[in-house]
Amino acid sequence: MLRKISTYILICFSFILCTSCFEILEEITLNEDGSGHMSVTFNLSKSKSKLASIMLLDSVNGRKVPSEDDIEQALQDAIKQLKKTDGISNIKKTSDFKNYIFTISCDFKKVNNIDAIFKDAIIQQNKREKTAFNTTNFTFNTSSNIFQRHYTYDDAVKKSFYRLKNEDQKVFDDASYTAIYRFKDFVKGVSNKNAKISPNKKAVMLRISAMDLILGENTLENKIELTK
Amino acid sequence: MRKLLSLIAIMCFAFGMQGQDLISKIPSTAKAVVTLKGKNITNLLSVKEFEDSKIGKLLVRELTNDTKGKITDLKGLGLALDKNFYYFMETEKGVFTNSFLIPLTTSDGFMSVIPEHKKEKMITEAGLSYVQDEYDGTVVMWNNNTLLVTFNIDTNYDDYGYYDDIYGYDSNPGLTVQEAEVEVAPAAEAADAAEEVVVEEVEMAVEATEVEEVEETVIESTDTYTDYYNSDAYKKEQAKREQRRKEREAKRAEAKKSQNKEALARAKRIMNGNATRSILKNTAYVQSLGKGTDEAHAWVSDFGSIYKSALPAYMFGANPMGMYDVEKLYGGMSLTSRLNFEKDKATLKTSYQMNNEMSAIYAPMYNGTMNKNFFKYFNEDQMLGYFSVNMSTEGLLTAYPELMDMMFENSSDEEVAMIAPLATRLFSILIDEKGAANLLRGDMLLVLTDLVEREVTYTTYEYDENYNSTPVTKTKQESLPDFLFMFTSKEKDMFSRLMRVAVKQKEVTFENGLYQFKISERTPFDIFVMFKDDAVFMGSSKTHLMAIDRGTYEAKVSSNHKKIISKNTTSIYVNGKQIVSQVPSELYPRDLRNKVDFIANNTEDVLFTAGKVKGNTMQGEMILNTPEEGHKNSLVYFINLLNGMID
Repeated sequence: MLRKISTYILICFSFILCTSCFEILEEITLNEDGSGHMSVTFNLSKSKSKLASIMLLDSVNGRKVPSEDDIEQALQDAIKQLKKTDGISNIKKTSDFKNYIFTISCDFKKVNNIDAIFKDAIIQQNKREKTAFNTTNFTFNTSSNIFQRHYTYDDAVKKSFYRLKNEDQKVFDDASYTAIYRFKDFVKGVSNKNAKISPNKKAVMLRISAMDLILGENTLENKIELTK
Repeated sequence: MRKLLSLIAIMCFAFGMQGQDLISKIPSTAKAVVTLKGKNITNLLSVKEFEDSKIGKLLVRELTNDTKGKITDLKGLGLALDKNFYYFMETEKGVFTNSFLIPLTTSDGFMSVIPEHKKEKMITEAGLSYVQDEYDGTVVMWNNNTLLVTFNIDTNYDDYGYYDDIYGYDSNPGLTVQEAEVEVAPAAEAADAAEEVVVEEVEMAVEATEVEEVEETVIESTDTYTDYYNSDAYKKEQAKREQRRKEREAKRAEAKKSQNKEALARAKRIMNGNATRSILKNTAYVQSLGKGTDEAHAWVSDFGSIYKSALPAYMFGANPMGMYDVEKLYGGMSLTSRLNFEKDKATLKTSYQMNNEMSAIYAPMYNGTMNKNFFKYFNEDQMLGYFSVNMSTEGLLTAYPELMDMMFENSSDEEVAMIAPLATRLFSILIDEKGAANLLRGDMLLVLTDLVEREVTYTTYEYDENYNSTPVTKTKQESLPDFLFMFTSKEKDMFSRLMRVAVKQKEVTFENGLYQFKISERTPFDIFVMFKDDAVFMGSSKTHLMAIDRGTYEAKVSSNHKKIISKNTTSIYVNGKQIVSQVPSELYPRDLRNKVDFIANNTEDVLFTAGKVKGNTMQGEMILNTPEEGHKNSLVYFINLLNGMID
């Protein structure tokens, strides 16, 4: 009982006083033939005090708090989906519940294999929420040697955000999305003015704050032209 | 003698109000009255000062836009802002009537905010103008010095009309009763009406039989397909439904018409006033008024009579809460609240009056004794706030069976009335009230002793010049409060045994006289527990608890806080200034980050208290302290605060 009382006292205050933010890291290493390796990392380590407190509860604001088992199950479901997708192999996942970092990675034969992973989920989302998210997120034209990250902003994101409570909105204040694309060929140019080309000209990094993405003030859209 | 003088003073005040105040229009039967005292409010904040504030300017701008430039300031609205504004509620047979009485200097301003289409429906007779909403019966009535808005909420009528039409149910028996009440029907007509009801019931029964017959016919003729929806039986049934629907619709329309007629008549009665039957003749209300210096006053009359009069007409005389004895629970209970904006604080005081029996039960429950030693263990200069509970476990456990007995004594459920006393007696026998009080006396205090920064690690990524990522561990500071929770207990032996079990189970470790709980590997804090001087201590700061254990802790608690904690049943204190100044700015929502200094300079303490039962009264209070500097009074403070927050 003593433990429960103290837990609840601290949970109340860690909700208010602990920062909560996260970063998403999208990495793609592309081979000349269009095959490659992709990994997506959800890093919630900066919010671990708050998350640890939240996860001691069953629900917050009427919403169920997922247990470690629930999160594991969600990751397993993602793996299952990947396994069903043509051209996807070498699927790996890591889950670090001490730091709240979760990664899923895989190899792909063609860039459009990656699109196939999310296609169904995006179609469902568009149907459910009447959004217009693109089902094609990555393309690679081997003849022109152009790699493209597609992204269409939908106002529904902003509306959903404003429907959140103030406390929940704060989660996105310092959150960020980082996309890194590595190539065998040299990068000739990029279309997104916020993207940076590495000194060795073989990688591109684009870092955008979650708020910019939500409010549509920045985009992930990027056309990367490679040398032939 | 003093009582007599006070009563005379109150009566003089009440009669003084009568001549010039809208209160004389409120009937003595009103169950709740809320007053906004215009004069007191405008003395604190003039209309001009409000108009010059950002929120005032916004309001005036909206008004000007809405009236297409006809109103350019608050005066133009024609409200007598220096007089009293009233809301009152009446209840009768399940009908709640809510009314607002607004003093006017002229009706011209009000006329300019009425939409043109409403003006077309405006009726003026005998010096009163009014508009009535046909659908919900709301009446807006005015003359040159008073505006009345009144509307009913009728709990007698539930809109199950669709089902009534289809199945022939009568979900609104109250509808009929009300009709009969409004139009006092002659005996012969009433007899006819009764006959009609009987006939209708018979028809319904016949109809039910007919439907069954139709179903049988369908089953028997399985060899040839019969389209039921084109059958004569179906058409006949539909025609009857349609007839029922029309009849009910006509009934509803008639009932609505008479309700609206009654609402209009009531509005006229209110506007014309009747000083001899006004609320000022209600002694309970007059006694609740006090000195009349409040900015707002609210009064709710006897809860028991509200429950009774709130009953729908068709339930009149029945017990609304079924198995509970409402009269015992709520009879003689009333509530008075006063809102005051003082120089350096805003206060809301609420007084809860209960009947003799209930106060006799509640008094021992709330008559706890606070452990004075608790004041040796915290320092008010550092604390962020506290929460105290000062109950009596023994009083609670002794009174609880009595309360249950009283609640169910006259239960409408005979079985409950018989079993409840047995169960409560059994409870009394099984529970050792004194033993339970030894374990937990009922006094407890939670203090947020300090806000401390703790270093926590997190993982992020660093990128080399070719954007290859490497996870790295970094540190950051997180602010978390230290807390101390204390409660009185004489069961040291039980505590020690419990801790020994926990240590054996490896849930707890024991070191330096403290038991240490590890909540989670991921949380940057642990919990320490100990027993000392008939009290259990639980806290997040090891050094604090060790100092208490060794008797070296230097406490500082003012007599004011000691009094608040000891004399009240419950108190919550929030040291707003301390919290605002210590919380890092990045923890504020983005929009407020550039206003942290402003918020810190304008935030003071907040205190909520609930007192013990004294006589038949229990009092609660909320005090919001406000900074004196830069603000004429606490009302102006709120306006200035809004000014500071609006961009």
